[in-house]
Amino acid sequence: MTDSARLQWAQAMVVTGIVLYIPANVLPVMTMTVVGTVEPLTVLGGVEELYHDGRWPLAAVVFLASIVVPFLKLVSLSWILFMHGKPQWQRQRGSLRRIVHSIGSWSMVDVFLLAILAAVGQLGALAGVKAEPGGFFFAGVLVCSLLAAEFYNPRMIWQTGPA
Amino acid sequence: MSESNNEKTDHGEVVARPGFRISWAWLFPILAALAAGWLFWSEWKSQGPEIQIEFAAAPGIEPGKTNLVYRGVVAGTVQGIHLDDQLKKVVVSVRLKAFAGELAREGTLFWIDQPVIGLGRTSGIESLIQGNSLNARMGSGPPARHFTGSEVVPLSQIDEPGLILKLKSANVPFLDRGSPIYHKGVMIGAVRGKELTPSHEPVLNIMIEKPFVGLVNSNSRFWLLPAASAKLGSGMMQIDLAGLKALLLGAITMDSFGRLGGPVKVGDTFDLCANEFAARADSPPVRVTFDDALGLRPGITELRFRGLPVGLVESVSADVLTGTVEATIRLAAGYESLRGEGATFTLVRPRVSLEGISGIETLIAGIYIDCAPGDASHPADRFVGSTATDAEARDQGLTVTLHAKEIPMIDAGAPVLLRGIIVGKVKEKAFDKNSEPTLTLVIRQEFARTLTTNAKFWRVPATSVEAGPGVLNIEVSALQALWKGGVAFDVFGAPGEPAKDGARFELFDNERTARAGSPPIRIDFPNGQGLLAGQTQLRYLGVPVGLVEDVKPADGNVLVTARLNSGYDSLRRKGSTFTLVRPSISLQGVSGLETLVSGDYIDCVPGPRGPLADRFHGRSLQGSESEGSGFQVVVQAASTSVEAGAPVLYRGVQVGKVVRKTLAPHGRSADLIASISPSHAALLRRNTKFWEAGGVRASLGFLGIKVRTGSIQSLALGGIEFGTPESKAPSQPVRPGHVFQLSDSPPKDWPAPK
Repeated sequence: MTDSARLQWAQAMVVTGIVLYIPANVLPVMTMTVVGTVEPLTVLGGVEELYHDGRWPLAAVVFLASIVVPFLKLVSLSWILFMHGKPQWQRQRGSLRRIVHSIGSWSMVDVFLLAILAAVGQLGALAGVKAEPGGFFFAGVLVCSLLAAEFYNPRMIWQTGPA
Repeated sequence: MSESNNEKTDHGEVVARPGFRISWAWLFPILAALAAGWLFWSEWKSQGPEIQIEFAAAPGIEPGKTNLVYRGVVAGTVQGIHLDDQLKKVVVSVRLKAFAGELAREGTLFWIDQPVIGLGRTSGIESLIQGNSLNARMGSGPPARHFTGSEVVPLSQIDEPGLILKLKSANVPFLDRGSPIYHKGVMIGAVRGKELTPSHEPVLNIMIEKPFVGLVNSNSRFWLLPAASAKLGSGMMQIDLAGLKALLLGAITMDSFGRLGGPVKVGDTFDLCANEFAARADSPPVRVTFDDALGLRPGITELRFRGLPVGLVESVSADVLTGTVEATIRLAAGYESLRGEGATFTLVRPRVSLEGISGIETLIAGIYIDCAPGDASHPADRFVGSTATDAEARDQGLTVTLHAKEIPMIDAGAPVLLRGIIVGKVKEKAFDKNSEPTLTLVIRQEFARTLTTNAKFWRVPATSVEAGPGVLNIEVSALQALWKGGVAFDVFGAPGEPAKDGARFELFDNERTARAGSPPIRIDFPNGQGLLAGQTQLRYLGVPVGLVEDVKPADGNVLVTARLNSGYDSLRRKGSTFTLVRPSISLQGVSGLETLVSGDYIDCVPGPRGPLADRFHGRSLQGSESEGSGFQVVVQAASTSVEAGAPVLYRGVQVGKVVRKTLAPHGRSADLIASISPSHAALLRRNTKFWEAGGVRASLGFLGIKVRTGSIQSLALGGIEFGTPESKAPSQPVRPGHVFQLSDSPPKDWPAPK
């Protein structure tokens, strides 16, 4: 794979991630059915619910992990790709890419949690958890940012001039 | 760093790039955008119009959660709630689903469905859990976006209503929306609501479902179905439960009892009767005046004719001027003839006293009004009733009196039993001229001839317990007797002349004294410990043959008066022995065990054939001593662990026991006094050997261990065994008191027990 193809793949992945980021946060990621009450939950809605329940530390963690971090990852990757070929901030871009790459291994935790919830949370008529399309979009965002960070070789940061 | 150095030192040829190639990667953002777009579009597509509904109050409605339900299907979701400008109305915005867009029409009725705590409603459980919901009933006007919600739940929730009727009642206690209406056990409708009329009378709105509308006609009756009813009486207990739903919500039953009537229209009013009696009743109620209304309870007190409920007290009112109360009684259909002129009505109440209870059935079944029919051809409406502690007027038959020194536990109303059958009852308890308590009994006419002049009467205790070894017999008399006690009688022996009205009998304390009919015998005992009048039995060969009637001290002795049952005259012969047997408990064991449970008894042995006597000298023995009279020999041992009470065995069979253990006169040996039963005394010979048989004896041999044990008893007490060596000429028998020596082990040639 040429560097040019790598760059294009990384750019395409970031754009896909950005596109998917909107439905991932607007559409419900799961529906919880608790004693007959069907409640679709978006990520933000879940955070809000936790906050209203008074469990704000948990709400903050979920908010950071599920909304802020994916967003920051997309923004950082966009910036890194935008700066591609330019001689400025190379060292910072390198360390930022390294950070994005390393936290990438933790980013699927939410998705795993959702999968476990949907698998375990089947209590018959009393309660049930069902994954909704939002979850797929959410996973898509994470996969896209992972792939983007993977495609964009750190070596390419140090290439200058037109790609 | 090294990479940039490499580039700088790379002198390779620069090749022009073969044009900019767009990567396939860019398909991904396009696909993602398409998928997201399609989802948003389909979401938007499934949404119908948003409507606004005004309510005076919207309790339990939450935006985003409360659904609009139409025919049980979620047809929309509440999007927002806000108050109007004047804070007078709540405006609820509902986003309808696309398929329910037709609901946005003028005339559609919206209401808030609040869950009723109960299981009766079709949507009960869901509402109970999900909270309130918005409900809709479709209208048919032009499309509209603004609606005014209904504050009350409409009677028919879907478009095809059944028959809506009103039920009027003095009060509607526990019925509420959802209470079922049954016809012959089939649910045909439900209560839709209750309200007050302008004249403040409660009215139930009920709806009969469409398939059952034809069942209701103008003669239909509605009555309250009690959630549970319990019926109790002697010998039966019945609990009727009318289903869980009816239990929680109450229920109404409808029936026309086969009467035809005209059709009914929507909104017709019916009366809700308090019970089935009132609903079934055809005739106008009868009014009976009583002196007081104590215990008369509307809807509960029954009118009975010969014990059969034939009517019910509907209401009770007092007349202050005349000082009487008037009960309005509904007669059941078919018993109208009871209202004839001259009919009597008697209020029957239970009487509870320290001595007993009479009118027991009223205690359980409630106070009732007993009635007797009058002249059926002249029906009347008003009667004067009387009050009775029991239905005494019914008692007709043979009247006899019983006398006794004391008559506890029996009161008027107690049953008179003949071999377990109630043949009459105690009518009165009083004193006679000699201030002796008497009972006046009434024997029912049909049983009068069973009572003969030689009948014996006795009191029936509520329970009697007879115990003996292996036998514990508890007799519980009939329930009635259990409460009141009773009187029983029987004829022992040949029946005599039929008793005449007014005859007098003696009342015995119990059946045994009554049975013990022969003249008493008198026995002297040195002391009377354990002798109880009326309880201590006389036994012959263990069989009870009589009873101690009286115990009193006389001349330093105890004089016992006892009665023998008929048929045991042989025990009255001169020379008969009477022995008082008491239990003895010692470390050696318990003997006379049955006396522990059944009490002491007097053991009788008939005397030789000869003249009869009525006075005897009794002996008093411990239980063990009574067995100890046998053939006694002395077994001497240097020292032994065998104790008194230990068995004496011959070839493993117990033939006697060690009665006593003492020291020999000079203290040189221990003497065991063994008593051998006379039938085995012949086994003892001069050359008989005694040895210890008790305990565990182990002998260690070259090839193993040999363990010999006796019985459990001999393990504890030890035991002695004897044997007579075989010899051609049997040795001479011994006399009582012969002294044997006790050896440690059996003779070598004696067979060991297996």
